[in-house]
Amino acid sequence: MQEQLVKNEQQMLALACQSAGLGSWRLSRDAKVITLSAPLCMLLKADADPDTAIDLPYDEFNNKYVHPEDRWFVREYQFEPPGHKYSFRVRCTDGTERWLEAFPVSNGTSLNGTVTGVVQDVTERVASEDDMRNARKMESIRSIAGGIAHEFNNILYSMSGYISLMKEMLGDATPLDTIELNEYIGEMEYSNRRAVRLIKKIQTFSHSGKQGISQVKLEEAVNKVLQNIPFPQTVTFKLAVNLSENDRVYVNAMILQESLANVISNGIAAMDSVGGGTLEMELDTVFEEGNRPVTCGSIRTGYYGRVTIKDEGCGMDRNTLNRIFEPFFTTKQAGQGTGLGLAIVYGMVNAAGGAVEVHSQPGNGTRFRIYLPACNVTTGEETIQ
Amino acid sequence: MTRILLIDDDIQVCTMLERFLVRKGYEVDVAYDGNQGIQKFEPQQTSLVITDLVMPEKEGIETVMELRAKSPNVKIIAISGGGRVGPESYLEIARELGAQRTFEKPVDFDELLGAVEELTA
Repeated sequence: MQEQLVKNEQQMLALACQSAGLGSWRLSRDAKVITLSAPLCMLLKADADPDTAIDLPYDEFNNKYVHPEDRWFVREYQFEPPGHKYSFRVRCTDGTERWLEAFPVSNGTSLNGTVTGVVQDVTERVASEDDMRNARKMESIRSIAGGIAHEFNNILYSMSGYISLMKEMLGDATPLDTIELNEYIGEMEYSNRRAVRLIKKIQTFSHSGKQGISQVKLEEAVNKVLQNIPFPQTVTFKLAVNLSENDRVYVNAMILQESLANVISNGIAAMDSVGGGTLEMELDTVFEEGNRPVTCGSIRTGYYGRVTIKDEGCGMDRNTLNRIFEPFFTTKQAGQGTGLGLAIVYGMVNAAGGAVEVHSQPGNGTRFRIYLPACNVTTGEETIQ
Repeated sequence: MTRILLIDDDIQVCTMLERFLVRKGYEVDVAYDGNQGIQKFEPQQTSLVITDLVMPEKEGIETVMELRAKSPNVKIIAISGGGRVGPESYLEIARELGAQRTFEKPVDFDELLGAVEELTA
């Protein structure tokens, strides 16, 4: 009877720990052996009896479960006094990565000189703090980029003015000089045009205005883009269109085409680096409910035209994923990309009131989902703002 | 001689445009912000105003409104390099307020000259 009661208590406690993502540990007096409580073993997906705590040599625990970059300070903080908490990443047996927050409860002055503590799984909290930081960072980059673009426009404006004046005045020079000078001016004009194109791209990223936004047929835009993209032989392409005849999205058509070309080219490049694969693309209309923050922007209640682009390329880790929409951020080799491709996608969804959801894992490819507000074609009005 | 009033807070842009227009045979007044522009504007003599839109002190949009109040028939060309919301937004407002022609920086000079000739004809 008594035994049954204890067992029930234990089960209740285990349930509470599991739902709160809690676990505990105890480190031996000589710091050589760590005891992981049963709930902590479950958190780590350790291969053990769900009701039993396990003892592990400390070094084995550190090397097997703690993220390589965090091992040094987990080792250093093991004797932190109670009240001092610290966070670190662990790698669970199933390959997933979680954030744990550790609270030491005794530091060797009691309980036979052992150090004991409680850990809590704070992965979701860390991810949402990450998203908020990311959103703030993107907002400040946007305003810096907008300011720089404005200043550069003035500089280019006066440069191009002087170039056209010089061209006109060349009539007075000797014929030989004229040929050479015309060549130089041609080079200057070319540089100037390059700079103008670059500034236009940066402005696409930094502006939030609604200019140029109209009702666009997704399938038509995609077909135009596909005509101009060379697919290497190693890449197979599949397109599934699940749209009705009247489906339209609310977006700037030119920028949509450029954005799609950028995401598709990135997918192809990512697969090229691992010897090829299949690029799958799907177009559909979906209804979303609630308010769901995603990689770029938030998906709110309403109908969306959705473009899914999935590759089997090299994939990305979370650090890279956090930065892909930053202008000038690129993982390509120098000279192979300006780092503005996805910044343009960011600018597009921001202006149109859409969002982008990106899922990626190193070695497991990447899936981009671009959500654009759907239009109600019969009334000619957008269904969501 | 046809007189044009140039308003732009970027000195280099003003100097370049002044030289460009003088070479094309126009007389040019230069102002470096909206307030100066309003002061230098003379309804009887100024045939055309070319103004920037994003400026400190007095914004171009406000300048366009005041010029229009001073002289309802004034011809205006508005040019913008864009601020936070992009050049198109400012230019749209300027058009609504009665700027006859609008350009995004950097401007195509043949087009600008065409507009100047048309509006001062």
